[in-house]
Amino acid sequence: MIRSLSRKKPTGRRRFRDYYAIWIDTLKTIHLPILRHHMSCATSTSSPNLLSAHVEILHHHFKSYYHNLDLAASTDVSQILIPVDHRNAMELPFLWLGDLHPYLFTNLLRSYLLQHDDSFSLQEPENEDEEYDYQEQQEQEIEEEDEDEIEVGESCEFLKKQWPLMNAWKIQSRKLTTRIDQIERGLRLMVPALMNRARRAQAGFVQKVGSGEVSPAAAAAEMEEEMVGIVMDANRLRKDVISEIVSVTTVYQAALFLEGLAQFLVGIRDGKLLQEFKSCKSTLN
Amino acid sequence: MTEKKQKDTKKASSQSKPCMSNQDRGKAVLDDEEESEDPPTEQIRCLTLHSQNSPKLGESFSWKRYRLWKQDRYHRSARLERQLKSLEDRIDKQLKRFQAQYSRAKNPTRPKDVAELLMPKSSPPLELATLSWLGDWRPSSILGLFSSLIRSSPTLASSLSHAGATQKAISQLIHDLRIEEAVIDEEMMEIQANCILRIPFAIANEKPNGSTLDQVNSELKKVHRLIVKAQNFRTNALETVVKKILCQSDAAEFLVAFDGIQETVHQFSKDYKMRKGPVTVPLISGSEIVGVDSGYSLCKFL
Repeated sequence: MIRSLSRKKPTGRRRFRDYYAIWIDTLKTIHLPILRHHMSCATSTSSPNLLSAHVEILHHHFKSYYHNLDLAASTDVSQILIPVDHRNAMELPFLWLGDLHPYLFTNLLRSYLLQHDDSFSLQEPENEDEEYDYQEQQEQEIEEEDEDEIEVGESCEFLKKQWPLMNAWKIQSRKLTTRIDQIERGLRLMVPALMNRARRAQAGFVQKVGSGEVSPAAAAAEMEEEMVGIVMDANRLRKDVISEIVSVTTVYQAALFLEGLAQFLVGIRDGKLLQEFKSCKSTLN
Repeated sequence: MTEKKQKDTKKASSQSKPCMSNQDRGKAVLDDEEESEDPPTEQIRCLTLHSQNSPKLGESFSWKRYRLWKQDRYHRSARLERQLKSLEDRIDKQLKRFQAQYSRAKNPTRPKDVAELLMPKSSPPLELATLSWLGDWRPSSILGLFSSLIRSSPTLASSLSHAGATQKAISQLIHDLRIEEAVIDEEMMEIQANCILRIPFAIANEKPNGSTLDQVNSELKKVHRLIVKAQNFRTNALETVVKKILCQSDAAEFLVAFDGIQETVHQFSKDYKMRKGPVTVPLISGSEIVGVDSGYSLCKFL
């Protein structure tokens, strides 16, 4: 797949649909497994530095996607706003201005914090595992799902020291919550503003065409320009929120966040699930 | 001074008397026309009224001509009435066609149909981008179109008995519809912002897909409910314009314009799609450019 990425076609351009398929495939088959490997690797070969590098790689993968989404939007914004070419029927209803809603990122992050709050007070894990060297454990990362399998901890203090990934959401959570609050406040101002711009662009189009001021094609061209701006601003918002989250969280938190995000994007395109979805006969009404 | 004025006005009134009588005659004719829809038994009364004023020609000739003229008029008005009725039928039919289009979501909808309702494949992307909100026209845009048509078309504006008041009422309606739209937008946003938490893809590998699919469907059920709501607002907006605000001929004019704009937008969006082809990105994408900033930090780690 990497080969197909680097192979240059004479045209110099490729369909965005193909780009996105490759992007998802890279996420699914390369980045996600590597990240998970570094998160769950029990042997001490991996270090926080390596995990940090992979978090950075995955973050970069997302940034490059939004960069390309911008490029595509400036080519034809209508196909980004109405992405029937590169998104499937299961994805489409969940998209906002051509991609994920920016609230989704903060909500995902909040869910980890809440989840942790609940699980932490409810179930205090017990440590029956004695084969771990405590020194090693300080550096190792454990996948979130392993929480149930590996029972650890004699006290909260011990957990904080020994299980950085598992305990990822307790550490600095107050500082983090304050920052999420700030990000959310910003989003609450910017998201409705973008929605209003989109609505006004549509209303303006109808008004211009209805009054016969300009031809429909000219009005559409004007509107297209405005829509490119709106989509690019939405993309910037999404990209910035992800970057902000990655920068304010610890490496373990960022790893869990990006893993959750990537898993959602990969999961909603899962071939088997999509097949079941398409053949689903039950009606919604 | 005042006496002189009074005299003058008296003079004027006496001068205008013949005019008045003419007007009266005209009024009689008008009244007569209004009565034309009544059965022909009324003819006799009308005839005496007219024969008094008609120039003295051969009585039988006038009687014959008048009878022919009257019959012709009666037939014409009957035809007009039929045409008005058929116009009304046509407006109703056209309205029903829109209503049917706007109530597609009420038909049995499978989960995979939700995307089709939101972004119908029959409409090119540009058409949807310029006009659609949850799959079709924004309800407020329908009234917005009407409002801009009134402003640009003098015939439509003058035919409205209280153009100013109507314009004000429409602005209020647009305002109210925008609030309704915003409420739906808000609910839609809630679904889009929380789908990642409600659809457990993270454990999709371990659990049978059935449960994941159930979660997807339950979210889509919510989306579907919003689409139905949006469609109801759309239908109401169109009905308000066509049935409540406008008279028959103006309603027809509006429907023609409404349909005309949709057709024009559809056509140029189709041409646009043909011309543009599928959206592309450069093969040597910006990832390299983006990579510059993170590349440095990556080097440090690796």
